[in-house]
Amino acid sequence: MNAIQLRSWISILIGALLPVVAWTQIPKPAQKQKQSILILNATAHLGNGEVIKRAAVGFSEGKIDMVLSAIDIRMDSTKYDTIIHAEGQHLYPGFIAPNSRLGLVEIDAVRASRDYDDVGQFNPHVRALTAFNTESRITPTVRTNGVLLAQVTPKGGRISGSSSIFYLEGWNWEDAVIKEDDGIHMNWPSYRKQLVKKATEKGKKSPKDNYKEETRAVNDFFLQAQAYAKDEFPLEKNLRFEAMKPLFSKEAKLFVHANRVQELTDAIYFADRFNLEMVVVGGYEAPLVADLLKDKSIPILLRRVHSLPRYEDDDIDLPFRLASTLHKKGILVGLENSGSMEAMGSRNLPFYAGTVAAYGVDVETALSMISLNTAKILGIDLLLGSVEKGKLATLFISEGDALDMRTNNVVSAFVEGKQISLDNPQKALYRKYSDKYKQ
Amino acid sequence: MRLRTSLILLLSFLMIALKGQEWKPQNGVNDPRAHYTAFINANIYLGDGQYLSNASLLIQKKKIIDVGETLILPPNTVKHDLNGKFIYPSFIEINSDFGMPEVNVKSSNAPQLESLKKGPYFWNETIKAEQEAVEMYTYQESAAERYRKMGFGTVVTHQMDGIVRGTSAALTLTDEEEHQLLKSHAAMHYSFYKGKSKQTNPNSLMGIISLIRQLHYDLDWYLQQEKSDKNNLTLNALEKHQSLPKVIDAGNTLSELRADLVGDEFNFQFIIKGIGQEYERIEEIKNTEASFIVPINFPKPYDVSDPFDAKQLSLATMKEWESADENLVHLHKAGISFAITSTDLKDAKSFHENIERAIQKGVRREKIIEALTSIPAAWIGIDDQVGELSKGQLANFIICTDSMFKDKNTLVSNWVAGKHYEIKALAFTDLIGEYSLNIDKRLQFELIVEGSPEKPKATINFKNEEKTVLAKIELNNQRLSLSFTLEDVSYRLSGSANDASARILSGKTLLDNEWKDWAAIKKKTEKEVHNEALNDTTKSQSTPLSRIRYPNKAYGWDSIPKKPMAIVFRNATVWTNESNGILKEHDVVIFDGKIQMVAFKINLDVMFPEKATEIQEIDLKGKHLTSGIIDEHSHIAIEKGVNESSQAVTAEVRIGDVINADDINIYRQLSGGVTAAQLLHGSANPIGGQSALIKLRWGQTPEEMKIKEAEGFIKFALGENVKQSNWGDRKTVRFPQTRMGVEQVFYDAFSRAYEYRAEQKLYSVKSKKDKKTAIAPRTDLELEALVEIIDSQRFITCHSYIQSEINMLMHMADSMGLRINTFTHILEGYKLADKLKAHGAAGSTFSDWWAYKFEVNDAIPYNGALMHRQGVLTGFNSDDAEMGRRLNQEAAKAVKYGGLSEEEAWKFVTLNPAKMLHLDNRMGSIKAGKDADLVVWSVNPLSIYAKAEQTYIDGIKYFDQALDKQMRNEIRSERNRIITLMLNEKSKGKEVQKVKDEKKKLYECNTVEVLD
Repeated sequence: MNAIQLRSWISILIGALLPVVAWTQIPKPAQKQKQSILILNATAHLGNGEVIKRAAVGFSEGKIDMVLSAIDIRMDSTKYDTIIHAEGQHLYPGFIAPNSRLGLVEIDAVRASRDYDDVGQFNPHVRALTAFNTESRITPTVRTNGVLLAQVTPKGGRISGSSSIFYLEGWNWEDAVIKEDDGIHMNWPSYRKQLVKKATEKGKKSPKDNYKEETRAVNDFFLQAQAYAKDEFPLEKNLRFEAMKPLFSKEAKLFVHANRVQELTDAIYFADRFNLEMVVVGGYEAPLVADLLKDKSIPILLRRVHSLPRYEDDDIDLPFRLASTLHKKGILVGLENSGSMEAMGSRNLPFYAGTVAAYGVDVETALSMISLNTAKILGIDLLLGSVEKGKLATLFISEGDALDMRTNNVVSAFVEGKQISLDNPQKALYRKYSDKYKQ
Repeated sequence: MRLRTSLILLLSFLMIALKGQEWKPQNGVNDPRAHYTAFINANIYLGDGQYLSNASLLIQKKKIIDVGETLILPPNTVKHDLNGKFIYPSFIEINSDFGMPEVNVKSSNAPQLESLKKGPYFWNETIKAEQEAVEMYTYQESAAERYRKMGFGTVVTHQMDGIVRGTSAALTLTDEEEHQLLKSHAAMHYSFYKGKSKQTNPNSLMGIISLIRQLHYDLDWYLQQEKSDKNNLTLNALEKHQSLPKVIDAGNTLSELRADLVGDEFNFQFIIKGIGQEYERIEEIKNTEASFIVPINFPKPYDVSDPFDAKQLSLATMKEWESADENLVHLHKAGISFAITSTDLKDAKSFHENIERAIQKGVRREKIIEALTSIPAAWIGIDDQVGELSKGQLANFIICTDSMFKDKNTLVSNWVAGKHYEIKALAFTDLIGEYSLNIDKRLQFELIVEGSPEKPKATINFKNEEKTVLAKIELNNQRLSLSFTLEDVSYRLSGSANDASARILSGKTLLDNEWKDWAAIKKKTEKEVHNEALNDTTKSQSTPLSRIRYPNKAYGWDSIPKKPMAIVFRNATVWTNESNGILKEHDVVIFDGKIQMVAFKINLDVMFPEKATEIQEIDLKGKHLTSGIIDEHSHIAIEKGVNESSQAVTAEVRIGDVINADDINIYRQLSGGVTAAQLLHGSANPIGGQSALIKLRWGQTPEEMKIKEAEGFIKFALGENVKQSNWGDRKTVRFPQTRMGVEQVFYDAFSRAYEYRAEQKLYSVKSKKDKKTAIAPRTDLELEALVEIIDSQRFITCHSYIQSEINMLMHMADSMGLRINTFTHILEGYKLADKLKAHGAAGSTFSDWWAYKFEVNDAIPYNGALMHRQGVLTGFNSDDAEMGRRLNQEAAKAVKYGGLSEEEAWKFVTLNPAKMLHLDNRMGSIKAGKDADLVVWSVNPLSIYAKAEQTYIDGIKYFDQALDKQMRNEIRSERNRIITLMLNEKSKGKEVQKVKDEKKKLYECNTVEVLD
């Protein structure tokens, strides 16, 4: 079968699986996997650093039951109901967008559509779980590029709230959720206030030198929460402290958002004192505390790769190179995308990994930073994050290298074995207006 | 005898001259003080480099009567023997706000569109030409004293608020009111600071510059009016004071150059108040031919003892610290006329200290004194009264103990208009020295007095024993007391010194309850002898000055890269963007900044006979060579405001006035293969400002970055930004607030523009004779820009999102005889690509941005491909400093979304934007004759793995990966070097300042800043 035939064969297959899609509808969630599927001869990037050139990846009832090299091993393909021939194509585990406001916002500038930042400084009880919008117009455009999972995360305040991990697919949040309340997100106080200009200019107020005060407030809150957690029958229920309990029992992780070396150092020792499972989110100056991070086994969800250096004197490619620097120092690194245009921009997550690969690590290592590493950091690696036997069949096929925008073209994607629609409202508009000009 | 006669004659003449000036009624008997005062045995600096030693200065009342080495003093002279002290003319502070009242402004919640100053004044309350400092000042003793202590006797004062601040007054610093005023209108003051006005316009630096320009065009027109029609007090004041010098407070080195350009436009020369960093661009500063007022507030060293904190400090700030005290040397060497101001100094003490530092770096002492005396005096025309010491000048002088500014020099007194202000009382008696002390003729001690005569410190050595104790010594004129304790015995001595040099001390002491005599005889004087040559020839050791980079920060050049004669690139995959497409294994020759030839295996011997060996060959086997990326929509390299958002139409403002050539993002974008960009005004109003088209010639000045002979462009905008949808609930006053209103803004603007154009035409066709009698119509910068659009001399780039508004603007344009050159953003362009095509508008869009505002909810990444397929000239832009350096990757998204060929996609960021900017005759493709703006890529430039390895502009290599690596090392070692210097300063006990956060602001379309 040559490449052109293959492509048309696949589109026929997709066409058959999909009902006719209304113009601007959000695609309908897929049904549970009933038939077993075998993907044959794709270059399989497993997510754990390995590549199988001509792979046989089979899955049924939502689980991967075979990952083999089709060259080396003879296998029985007859036990699969459907075979997808994917010569020349690439297979990947579903990519994961951590620390994301996907599904919590539709249009950044429209207040009514924003559901990620609530009133108050210490909001561990505020959870992303029940606000996740499965009818978002954004999420379908994200999974189209291979991002199939997200850690949906509240923002703002000192403690922003609790995140949950979702498939970007499902009828409702209950349907889509993978892990509820997996972590609590805290913005570490900013050391910057120590450094901003004093009130010299007329009429401008100087911000207080309040880094110490703010870190003490964090410490106090955790001390009280810890005491509360030890009380089996609290007389007065405190929702904030209730929400903090999983942190102390290590059922949830503490995601500390910090970039400066001073903040990172303080945060690491803080988490250590409270014996918490900590993840750094951000980590611009993390190389300066790499030994400490390694020593305490703290991983990093590294800030947006496609960003400018924070300081004028910094190496101009520092943000591109940071992931490999940290990786080489033995730190577990995942990539995240928070910042402006966060939700819609998360479809570019694969390309962040591509840039990381261009600046210091091999492609497979870079790939793991948006798949298995992230799954490990989020604590879902037993079931997700890589293409391995026994794991959930959440994976996709791209025509070319998915980490390069030049070649990324996702042709089919599966969530727990269900083949999901790759249509989205933007494609619908594309068809609609392509048709307009054909008339 | 002849001498005496002439003296008598002179005296009687003076008597007549000085008599009869008292018109103020006296309380009590008349009390004239017509005596003379003479300062004898003085070293006198007359001014203009002339010193007299052992000379006298004679004054009477407020004036200098004579100065010279052999003066004959009238009998009624009070003599002060200065005993070798020094006299200098007192200093002139040219940039002062002495005695000015506070500025009070009313503020309201809603934006204030109109001036709150009632009366027939200029429409903008930050233009206050009518303000006269002479009417506003009140003498303030504490401020006067502060100045006098530094050595000033005269100030030129104005209220430092507003863009035009009115006239300053020259005042002496005496509390005697009748002697204060030297000149009531000294200069007209301008600034690039808006000040406290709450009126919305202007709210950007480019708005401020435009406002000053418009004001002067208004003035030109106003001058032609009949006298009876001249009823605006602000313009009247400008007219009245036209001949006064104009002083402008510019803000930074680039703004100093900007100020000069404004002056050039109206044929006047500003005196420019700088910030003391003129060394950054000393060539250009010199070329302004302006005079400069420079501060000497050198920054304190930073506390870099914590390396984590030190990390936040930029090399730019470090170099600022290092070079601060060298600025005067640079100005001096370049032969630039400058005056010195103390105004920006936070503490008056450092005034002398800092000047001495500058002298040590290599400025002549006399040059500094001139900069504080005769130079400012001449600028404002008070040099007949102050600035030097000569007959007839005001008795404005200072007395000090040593050469001016020297470390040990002390200012003793400051005489202002003949009135004495003591600064430091000198001890009458000088105890300093070693004495042999005996008490009751039996006890022998050694008394050593050190320190200064005013604060003597005494120690006692017990003779023949190695024992030293501290003693307490107190001096009151010639009377003194001395006490010390030795081996549990307290000695308390009282007595007196025999004369001023205290050679013998003697007196009484109580020993065993009896009064006994004591005496001390001076063995050795430590008094300094001024044997130093008076004509101060202290050539400073001239330590080498610190290196200046271009720009003076990280990644700046040591010297700006030069253009090589020719380069040949060998064996590259050449993306020509021409009909021959992508050529494998081809050679490209550039010569004198232009592309010379593209061919397979070029023979240099044929092309450059005899010179072939001199030509640099670069082998690009396996690499790709493209023309440079052109960012059609960029907001980098812009200073102090990307939006003049105060009015719906601000066509008069120009980004070209505020290019920030020092923005590090220029260099960063070079590393992403960008060679040219359109720097656009923001999108805060329907008709924004004029664009600047630049090449990213890192290290050059703003003017040199501009693309010469590029056509004019202007920013228009539609939708949410211009109707202030996302600006908060307060911003609901400025018209328009709906898309309906937006349309009307355009019709109104162009209707006015057509009328203006007709009026101008009518005047221009008049005969010479008629022109003489007619009044030339007022030049309106806003309408001028719109007329340029009408006349196809300026082209529109319009920020737009949704199809209805895009359609509207094309209809407006069609009906007003205009054409929209480019719609930028144009995220719904795909919905009306056919209409765009018909109108002839280009579409410069984002590859995949959407959902950030309500109006971009229907944006799709297929937009580029759809528009392109309908024949619309299409490109991708950045509008973002970060994405600007990855536009090659953005181009790839046209392949991914919509399936364009790679060649077509690449044109989205090169040739197509060149066409949109009318630069395609020189840029955008690799073709013989075009500018050698080239990028070497490691792999296919559309790939995420591609890196720009070298970037050339006009054949000059402005970026090179290898060089970049080298620069990083240099930055590190340079940082370390300066950090060590700062640490040394700290360990020497110098005061340090905390490291500040230096995060820089980045501009996007809708960034609106509040200026102060």
